[in-house]
Amino acid sequence: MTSASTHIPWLTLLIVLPLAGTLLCLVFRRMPAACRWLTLASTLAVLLIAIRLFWQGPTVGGWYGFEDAAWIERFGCRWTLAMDGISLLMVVLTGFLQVIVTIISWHQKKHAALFFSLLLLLESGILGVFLASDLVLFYLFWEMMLIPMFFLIGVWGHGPRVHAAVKFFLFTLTGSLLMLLAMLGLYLLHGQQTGDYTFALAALKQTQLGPWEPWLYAGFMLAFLVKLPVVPLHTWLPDAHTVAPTAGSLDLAGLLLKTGAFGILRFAFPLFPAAASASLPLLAVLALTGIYYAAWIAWRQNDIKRLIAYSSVSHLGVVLLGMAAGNVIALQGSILLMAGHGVTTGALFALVSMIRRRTGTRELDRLGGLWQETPILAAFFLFFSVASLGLPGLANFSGEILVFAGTFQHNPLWGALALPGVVFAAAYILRMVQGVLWGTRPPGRTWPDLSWRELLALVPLAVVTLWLGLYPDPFLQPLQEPVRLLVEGLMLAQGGMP
Amino acid sequence: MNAKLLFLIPLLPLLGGAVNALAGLYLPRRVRAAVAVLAVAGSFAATALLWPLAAGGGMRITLFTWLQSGNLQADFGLLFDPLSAPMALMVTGVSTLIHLYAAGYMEKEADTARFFALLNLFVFAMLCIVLADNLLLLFLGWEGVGFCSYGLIGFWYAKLENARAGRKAFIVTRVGDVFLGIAVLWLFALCGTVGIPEINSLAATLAPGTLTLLALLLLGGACGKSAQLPLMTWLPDAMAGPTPVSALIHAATMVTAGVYLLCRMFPLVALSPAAMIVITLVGAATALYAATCALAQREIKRVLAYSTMSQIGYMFMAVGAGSVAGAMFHLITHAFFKALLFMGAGCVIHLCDEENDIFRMGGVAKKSRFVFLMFLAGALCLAGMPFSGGFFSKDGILLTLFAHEGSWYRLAWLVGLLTAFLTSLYTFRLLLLVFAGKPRAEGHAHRLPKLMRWTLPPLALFGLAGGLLNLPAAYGGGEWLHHLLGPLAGAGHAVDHVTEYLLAAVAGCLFLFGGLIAYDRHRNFQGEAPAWYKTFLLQGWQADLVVERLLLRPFNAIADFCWKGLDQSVIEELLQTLAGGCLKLGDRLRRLTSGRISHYLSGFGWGLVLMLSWFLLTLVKHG
Repeated sequence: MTSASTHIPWLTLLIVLPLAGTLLCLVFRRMPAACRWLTLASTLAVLLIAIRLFWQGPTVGGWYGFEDAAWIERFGCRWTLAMDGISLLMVVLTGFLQVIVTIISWHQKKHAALFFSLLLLLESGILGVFLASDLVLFYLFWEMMLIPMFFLIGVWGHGPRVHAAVKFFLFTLTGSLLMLLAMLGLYLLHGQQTGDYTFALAALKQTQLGPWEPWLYAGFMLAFLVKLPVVPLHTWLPDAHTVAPTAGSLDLAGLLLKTGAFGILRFAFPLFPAAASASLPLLAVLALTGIYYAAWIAWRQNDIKRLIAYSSVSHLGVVLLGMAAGNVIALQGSILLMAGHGVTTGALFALVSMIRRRTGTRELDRLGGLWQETPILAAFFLFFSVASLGLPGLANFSGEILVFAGTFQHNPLWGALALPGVVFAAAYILRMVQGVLWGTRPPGRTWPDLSWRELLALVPLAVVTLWLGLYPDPFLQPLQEPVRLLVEGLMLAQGGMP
Repeated sequence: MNAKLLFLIPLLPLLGGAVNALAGLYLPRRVRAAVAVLAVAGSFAATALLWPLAAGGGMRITLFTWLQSGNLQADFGLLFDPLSAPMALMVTGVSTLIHLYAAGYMEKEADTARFFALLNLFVFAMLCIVLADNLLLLFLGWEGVGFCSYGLIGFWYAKLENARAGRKAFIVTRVGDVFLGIAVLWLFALCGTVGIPEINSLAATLAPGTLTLLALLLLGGACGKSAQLPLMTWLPDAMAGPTPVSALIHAATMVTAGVYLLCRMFPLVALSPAAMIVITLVGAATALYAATCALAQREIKRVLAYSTMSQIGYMFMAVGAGSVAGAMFHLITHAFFKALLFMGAGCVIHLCDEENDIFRMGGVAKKSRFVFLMFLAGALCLAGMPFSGGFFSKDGILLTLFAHEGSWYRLAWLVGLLTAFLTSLYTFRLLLLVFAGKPRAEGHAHRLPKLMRWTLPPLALFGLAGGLLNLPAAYGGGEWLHHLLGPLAGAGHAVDHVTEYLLAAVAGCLFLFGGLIAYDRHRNFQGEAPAWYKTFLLQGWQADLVVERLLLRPFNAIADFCWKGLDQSVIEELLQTLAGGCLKLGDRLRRLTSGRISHYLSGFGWGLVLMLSWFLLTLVKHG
């Protein structure tokens, strides 16, 4: 079988292109400049393909692409890639952020070739996660993301980098091993019932699970919730962020966390609708706990990166709340917020590294007065900060307000409990802004304002932030069909009419 | 007339703001100011020219859909009706004058690009509140003014104190925003729409208890923005911002957004008598509270800030008593004279060598007769001099309260009277301390730029003659505003003319008493003996201390507990123990493979023994 609309296997290309870049970077490892351009070329190519798929629009049934080929026939594993609206959005986000990451890491000195090849390997893995529609293939990509990230943190990080890298690795690996067990359980169960031993997502959705369902669901969810991350499984994230290089932080916050949320929507909910709908209140409790708990901790942080890391946990709590509400508006909001959070938090991490490069510190009590010296950088910092605290008209608000609106529709109490979280967000974000921008700078220090390359990275992020905030419709349209299917699945499981 | 042109009203200031935000750093200073002023003036002209569209039920147009998901649809849509049109006209008109004034005021300031960008964006956001046809767009403006206010209060950020005041304003008003947000989303869940006219017409179908709760949530939102009890602590501190900002945001426009919100949602709010009483009482309590605080303030702008709070209390009382027309009337006259007072205060501060403390002023009347006259006009309106704009609008509110049934309203009326007296008292205290006598501190008078001078007379004129907007029938007027609002105006007051004259006479006497007492006490000001009650009032009844003790400390304590008590210890420990356990288990298991033949041999021997004994046991069992 080939792609539904054309004969060019775009989805496979999306994964193979960065992989090819990885190998080429290793081949040309003596020429860092070549590797840089090569990385830029492959990330741009991925972005262009993603935009092309976005532009072309869906085929019947809301699919943007479907590719299927034989792989390990003996065990029923196939190379199945499928792109629905949710994957599309995530792929576009990945393509976009990865270009920005490349621009920001342009002057990477230490082992440049290896660095870029790992970035590309990471991109390939992430894209694979967003596209795979076969459980084994998904698991392969899921683990494939882990390794480059481990090395990015462990080799290029600052401070206690090995500790953080190992922590990150162990947390995610533990989660994913449970998922692997659940996958095998599902595989065997389906095989016993139908005689067809397969890992295809579409087929496995039909499995009669009986008493096994909650256990298998829990196995999947644990892997995803660690990645999300949800309190109390979140402690790897602040550590990883604090030491990670800028590119690592950007990918971590912008993309890796999203794979957890994406996994819930693509696998956990559709495979186990009954268990999922039964678990929604529990998810809401986890989400609400996360929103406040992380915000409270963020309020006390002195290291900006750690502060933003905890703010991520808080924001992802809102994403999870949207899933717990489980209706059309809330789910669309969740996914939109994932994109918005990726862009704004990514931008903030980029800015933190620019600030650190100038001032040599990330500690709030040693910063201050940046507006005096570098008004343009400061203006960007303010812009993305207020976007992050959910100012209407900017990216995060669109997602958040939809999540809250959907939550109110589902259960006004949850909504009313979640909404005061925005005051917390205002408190910790403005504390950060205050520490960085206002006041006076240390005497006798001057710093240059943004360079054109830094602007090149920040301006697109700002444009997308405004776009998502003011006219999110193009991004919401592709979500309609997959979200409708998800909601239908949940409703049927509850015994209600969709 | 093309109705789409209505979008020029909010979009022109947005455009001006965008120009200054993106290119301001590279523009000459004069151009920055000119862009800002022209943008707002254009918006004013558009509002005036498109005025006829507001007639009757008004005009509702949509530019494009902002958010659409499920049954939620929020458009960039405007509602230009008899309620929003006069408000928009006032906002753009007063803003134009204040922008002109600011162009003069900021003459020597370096960073005017940021200033004018934020000022223009503020006007855009405010117009979103005024003109929005749905609650989400209103919310966009609502938060937008909060952000611009944050940036402008902390405009002189080099002093961290100023930045802190900005942050306080943002966070305290955001507490109010949460109430508004809950109300909006809950209304959406109940009504399935966020359109303001739709919700107002569906409101009657909701359960009474729900309605009361919703109205109270809206009140909570209004309290935040309008600095009413208990969310009022940010307003006095907000005076840290440049004076044009205080005039624009903290006198004429943003702080009245709460009143406007309640008027906009009046058909819903009015359905709950309990909520109406609460609104009245909140207004009354704030009016009195702020007036007592104003009596003891030492900074000229803080006196005006508390007086603003107090006057907005009157507007809340008007809404609570059911008179939208009364609230809007006072809102508009107040905008004129309070902007005038703030701008006059800016001139005074210039004349006194950037001195803020009224105890160290004095004799300003001799320095500039013009500023004195302008300030006097504003002060007389504020104090309620008979036949000034402020007199008519305040008297109308008192009359409505008097005429309303119910003992709570009678109480509010009494509080209103008392506050009127206090208002006169503190206004004359301010006038005397600033303008009378001789200068109490050295300092050379700065030159006043022309733009700062010539923007005052129009406001003085509007303030003094503002009564004509809604002149009561008892004085031969036609109640123009009341008729303009038509069905939106709410209840009128039904009292005969004799009572009306009597009440007006009472108000006039209160004005006179206040003035005389102030004259007696402050005519020859020699400094004040400190007293505990003065400090108490100066600190706003120690509200900040209460918030610090009751809210901030527990908040910080919980934060520390979460961070150090849970995250860093319990969760981390637990995982460490888990990891340590794995490590130990691995260690134990490792000993099995020590590499020594003797260990292996002994293991082999023990295994053999075990197997043999098991074998023997089974034999015994079956044998």
